[in-house]
Amino acid sequence: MLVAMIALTGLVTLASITVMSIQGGITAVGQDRSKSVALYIAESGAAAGADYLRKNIIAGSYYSTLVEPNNVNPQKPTGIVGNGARPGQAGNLFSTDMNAWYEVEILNNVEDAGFAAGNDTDKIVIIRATGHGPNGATAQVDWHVQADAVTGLGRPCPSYGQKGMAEDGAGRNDCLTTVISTDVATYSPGGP
Amino acid sequence: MTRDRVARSPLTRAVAAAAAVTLAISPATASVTSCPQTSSPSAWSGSFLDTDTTKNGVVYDTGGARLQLQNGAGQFRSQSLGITDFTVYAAVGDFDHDGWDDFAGAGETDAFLRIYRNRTFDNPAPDWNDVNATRVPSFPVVRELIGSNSTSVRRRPIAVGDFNGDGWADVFLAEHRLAETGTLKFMPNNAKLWLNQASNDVDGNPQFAGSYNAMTDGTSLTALGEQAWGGSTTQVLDFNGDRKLDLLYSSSDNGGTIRVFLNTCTLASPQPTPVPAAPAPLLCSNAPTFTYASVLITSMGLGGSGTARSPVFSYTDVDGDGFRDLIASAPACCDNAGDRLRLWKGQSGGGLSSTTQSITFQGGGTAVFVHDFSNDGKPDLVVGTDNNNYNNGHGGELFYWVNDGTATPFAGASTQLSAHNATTLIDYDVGFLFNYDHDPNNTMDVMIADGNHTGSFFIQANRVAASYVECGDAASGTIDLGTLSNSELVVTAARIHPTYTLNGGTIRFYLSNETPENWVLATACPDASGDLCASFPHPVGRTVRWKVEMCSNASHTQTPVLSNVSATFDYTRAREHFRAGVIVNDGVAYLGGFRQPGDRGHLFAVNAGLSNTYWDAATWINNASDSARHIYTSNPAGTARLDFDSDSAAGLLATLEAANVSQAKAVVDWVRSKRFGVGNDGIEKSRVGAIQNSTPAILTKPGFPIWYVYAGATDKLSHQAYQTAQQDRRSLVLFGSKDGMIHAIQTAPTTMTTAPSGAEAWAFVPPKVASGMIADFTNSLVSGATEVASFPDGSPTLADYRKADGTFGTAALIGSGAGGKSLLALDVTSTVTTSGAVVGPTPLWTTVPGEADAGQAYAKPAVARVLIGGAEKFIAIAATGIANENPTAPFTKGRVVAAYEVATGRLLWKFQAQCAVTSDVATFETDDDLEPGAPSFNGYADRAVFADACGYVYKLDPARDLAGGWNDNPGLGAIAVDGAVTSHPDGSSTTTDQFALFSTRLTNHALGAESPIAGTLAVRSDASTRVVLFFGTGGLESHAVTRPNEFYAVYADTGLIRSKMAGACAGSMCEKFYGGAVVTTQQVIFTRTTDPAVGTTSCDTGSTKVAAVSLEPGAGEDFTVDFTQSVASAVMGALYGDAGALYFATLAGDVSRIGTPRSPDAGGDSASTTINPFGTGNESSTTGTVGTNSPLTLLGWRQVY
Repeated sequence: MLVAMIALTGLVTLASITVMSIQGGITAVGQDRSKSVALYIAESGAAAGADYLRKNIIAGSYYSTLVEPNNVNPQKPTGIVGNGARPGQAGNLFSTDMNAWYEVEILNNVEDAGFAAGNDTDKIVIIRATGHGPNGATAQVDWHVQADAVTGLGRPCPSYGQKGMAEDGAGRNDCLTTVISTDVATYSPGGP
Repeated sequence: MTRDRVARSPLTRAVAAAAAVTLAISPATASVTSCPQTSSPSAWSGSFLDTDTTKNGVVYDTGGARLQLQNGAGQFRSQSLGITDFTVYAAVGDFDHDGWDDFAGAGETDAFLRIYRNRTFDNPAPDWNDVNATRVPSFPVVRELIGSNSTSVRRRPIAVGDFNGDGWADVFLAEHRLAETGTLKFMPNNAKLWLNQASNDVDGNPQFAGSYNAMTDGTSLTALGEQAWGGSTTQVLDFNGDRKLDLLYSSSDNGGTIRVFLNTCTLASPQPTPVPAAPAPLLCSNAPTFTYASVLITSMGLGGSGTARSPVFSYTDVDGDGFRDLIASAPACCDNAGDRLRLWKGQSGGGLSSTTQSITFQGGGTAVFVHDFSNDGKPDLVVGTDNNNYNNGHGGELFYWVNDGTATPFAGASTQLSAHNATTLIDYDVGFLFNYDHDPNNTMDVMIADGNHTGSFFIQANRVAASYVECGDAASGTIDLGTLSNSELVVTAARIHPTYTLNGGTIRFYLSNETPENWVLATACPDASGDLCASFPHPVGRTVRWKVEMCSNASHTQTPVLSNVSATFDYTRAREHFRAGVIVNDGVAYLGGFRQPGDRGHLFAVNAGLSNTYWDAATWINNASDSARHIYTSNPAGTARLDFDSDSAAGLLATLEAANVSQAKAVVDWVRSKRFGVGNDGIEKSRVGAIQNSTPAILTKPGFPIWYVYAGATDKLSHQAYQTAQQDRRSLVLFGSKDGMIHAIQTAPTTMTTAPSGAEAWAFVPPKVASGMIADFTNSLVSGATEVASFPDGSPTLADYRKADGTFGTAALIGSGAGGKSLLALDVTSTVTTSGAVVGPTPLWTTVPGEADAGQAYAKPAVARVLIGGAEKFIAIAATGIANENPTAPFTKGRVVAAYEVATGRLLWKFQAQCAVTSDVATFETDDDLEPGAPSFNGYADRAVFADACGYVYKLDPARDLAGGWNDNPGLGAIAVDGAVTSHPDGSSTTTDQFALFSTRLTNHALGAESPIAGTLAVRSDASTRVVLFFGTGGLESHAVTRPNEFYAVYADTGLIRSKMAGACAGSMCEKFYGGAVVTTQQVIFTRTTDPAVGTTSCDTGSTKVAAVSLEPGAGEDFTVDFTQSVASAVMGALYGDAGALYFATLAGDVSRIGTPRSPDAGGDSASTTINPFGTGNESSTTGTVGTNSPLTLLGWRQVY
């Protein structure tokens, strides 16, 4: 159980970092402990789905490749960490004794003008996550999320200062803003 | 299938356009001191050409007052030695100090030990012009150190050398007695030393003191090991550079072992004057003994105990790289053809290469001799055979290989010098090299004998031929600096005017400004004067020499002649020189420099706005008490930390290769002392040595690693936990310096002017650097000035990596740069506690990338997270660079790139470039459609790229575990280069294909000529969705300024040119692209440098244009130039970009900035709460820009059930 809680807590933390604007929390804690665990698992699946969506929105078509016309047979992307992985299978993040897993579907919002055609035009989708907990308990949550500008995934700014900018030696600095070439200075640290 | 689609705003375009104006940086503070000047000319002619040159294959022709090639030798003519003793063990030495080589000989079944004096001078000289004539030898016995007495068979290896440094040869003799009947297992019984009394008797015969125990203790005697056979089983040499002669001794132990026994005598102080020139041994103040120190090699695969498996060997540098190589055979070596005669190449920092070269040989070696028998300046090889343990009927045969000067020097066919005779010459048991006859060319002759069967003793008299050696060289002494000797300056270039005649041969000149020499090929000066010029790639020295390399005509009947050389050099005066780059972090710029003369080092912390120096780390290091410093080293393998202080000297013997504790203590005390600086009255010397090429690295609390955005949830969480755990980690500045240490200096940008900022937290001496310190110490002691050749000089790479327990740590990898060829890995996760207590680093491993074929370790290694067989691995990909001993093509050194597991140092794979690697290594992720293997963005690196001195760019799949094998790369390049050869024990070999992605000579629309590619290869995708490599050519000072260069954008998937920019050529001076490039989301920034004119006596500082071009292609193959900023001096170092500004340093002592730093003063970033730790996104695919850097917005949520 300890392992399970670490995993759950970790994924919630992940969500809080990668889905920084998401507010709210788990308020519907049931009486049944297994049900409660299933709900946590569902929330974990939703967080993993959010992380996946942030990485996979495409300029112009947004989430169109992830939604189906009228939400019939919605997709369950395998790229979502642990999605559909049964206990003991590769990718399942929970200890086997928990008998826990989740599955995540991506739905289009019905208000979307492309709903019938299976196109995403407003960058809004629904993450439907079903958590399967101990003793056959299940829980399901829906997250309605909207992406902002499609910027591409940012590369972290160089962490440690070093020649070649980073440990990959690729001379790459995504955080070096435009250089104003008219502002120049020279200095002699050892004196003239 | 990657792309970069960051829309450039109209405002940005406007700024870029406005900036496309050339503005000059004219630093008033540096304009006076940085002006290069030209020295007065120095000349070599007449006898000075002879007395001030060191010659290999070249002689001074007195009649013509000129240097010319030597006559070829290696024409061996057989002659009987003329002795009748059954001498089975022998060694040569000039015992009577008369200049004629004598020898000592011992019996195998007779206890005698005799001195045979060379009296060949009693016999007339033959007609030396007759190549077949030989002088009759005369070697009467003049002294008997042990009298004749029949014994059982005993093995009695003998060695001769000036062990006590008095200038007279002494005698070592060990005795092994049979331990098991029916075997050849002879175990050590005693070992004795006879010291020469350093005076002859009235007859001119040498005299010796009584013998004494030669070994320091019983352990050392036992360590002589099992001795099975005779031949060349010992060698006298100065193993650790302490100017005392040591002993190598072979045994049958463990399938063949050669051990090192160090001379423990104490050097006399003071030494008698004049002090003998190196490498002659120095005088001891007491009687020497030998102590067992280490194993040179073991597990040679020669077979089991009790058989004739004692290696016969020679441990001498045969490939000219300055490191001793081992050639070994054995009487019963030979079931595997590849094991009959092998070459193990020596490597930097000690030790031998793990791979061998098999030399074609029939087998059964009993004597191995290496010397320049041919007179061409390269060591050749002679090997004699046994008859009784292998290949019966072929004993007593002698074979001669001439060194072909390649990386496989004895791959050619041998010449047989003698043949088996069942009556008169059954086998060879004993031999040595000597110049017995004093022929006019002083060629080395060979004594070889069947000592125990027939008493047949032969001399193979080495005679010269009526032809010239193929090639030879001569190097001058150092140019006298005269009145400049006490001035603060560095030599940046030199010009020579030679007077020579080719006579159908060829001639090339080189120049060097360093000790040891770093030869740069001199090429025609651009002023068409006929002079030859060279700019130095490491303008840090002031010892200027020239070298001539001349080769005879095709038939070797004519030689070039050199009658005069006139030389000048250019020097730059400045108090501080900056050769390494600048690093900026949190509003602070860090840069290391040095002063000349004296090699005094400084590490400055300056505000990013460049107006104020916060501190110089040298101040704290020099003011601190010695006991306040925390200095470490490790065991030779680099896996266990040791304290580097005198109290720990006993534990440092192996690391330092010291003979005893007192020697280790003396070296440690010297290394920790204040020894850098001129030493003028009133100016104290410094503990900090020159910081030459080591661009510092800043260890801070961990941030997001470059693989973070694509990593899986578990890995992200794991690293987040690491970030949290280390959020209070103290920041350190890491760099290497000439004092032999990697320093870690504390820096706290929010409290920059108060302690502990500027204080040294710890320092670490890399073990392979430490192994060269005895030689440096001894040389310094003798010369009276600090002389350092072994030191860490590379730029540290810092990276987070996964430890064996699954947690993260931070590693630092540092190469030796100009100070060696090795690479060291340290764990620096937590070296200082949050309260300031010093814990110190944890050594992980050390290695030499390419082993014996390594160059100087200039290349900065890359660290990559890769996926191998579904498992995450953090690997270091390391190269070295151009070797000092192999500065020009054809390159045999510095070509290997190797990958190691960061956590363990285990070698995963190797790759062999066509030429010496001259760039740093870069890695990247890609999902380009044209890349084989369908790589994807997943947080794991997919490709590694690097370039070489001949203009080839290579691309590899780094995610392979080949157990150290060659990494073939078909499909990752279409230009085949030399394959990598692997030798097998059976004598066969296999070749692994190696390909280049790009070539300046072969790729369409490129230069059409070879040109080095140096520095950082910038890597990034553009709007085409494809990864592009950005690099320029010609970025080495040694590259001729007359040759045009180009800067390229090359698609990483195909190697085709997307864009290019030609460096301008004015007159005969062409711009070079030094230092690599920096790439941002919008721009590629690099330098276009015109070298200073050499030897013109004008104040020419050279010039540089810092150019920024659009990341995206311009029209056709053009770049779109955003701005060009002129700098009034040549910039050769790397650019660094941080938060709105570019930085670079100059050799003239300046650091410059272009752009407005976000935080002009220390701590500005730390104080800000608005800095996004992620850059503007740019990863992309053909489907469009993918992903967002912005968080998702939660519009609502519900629990369905």
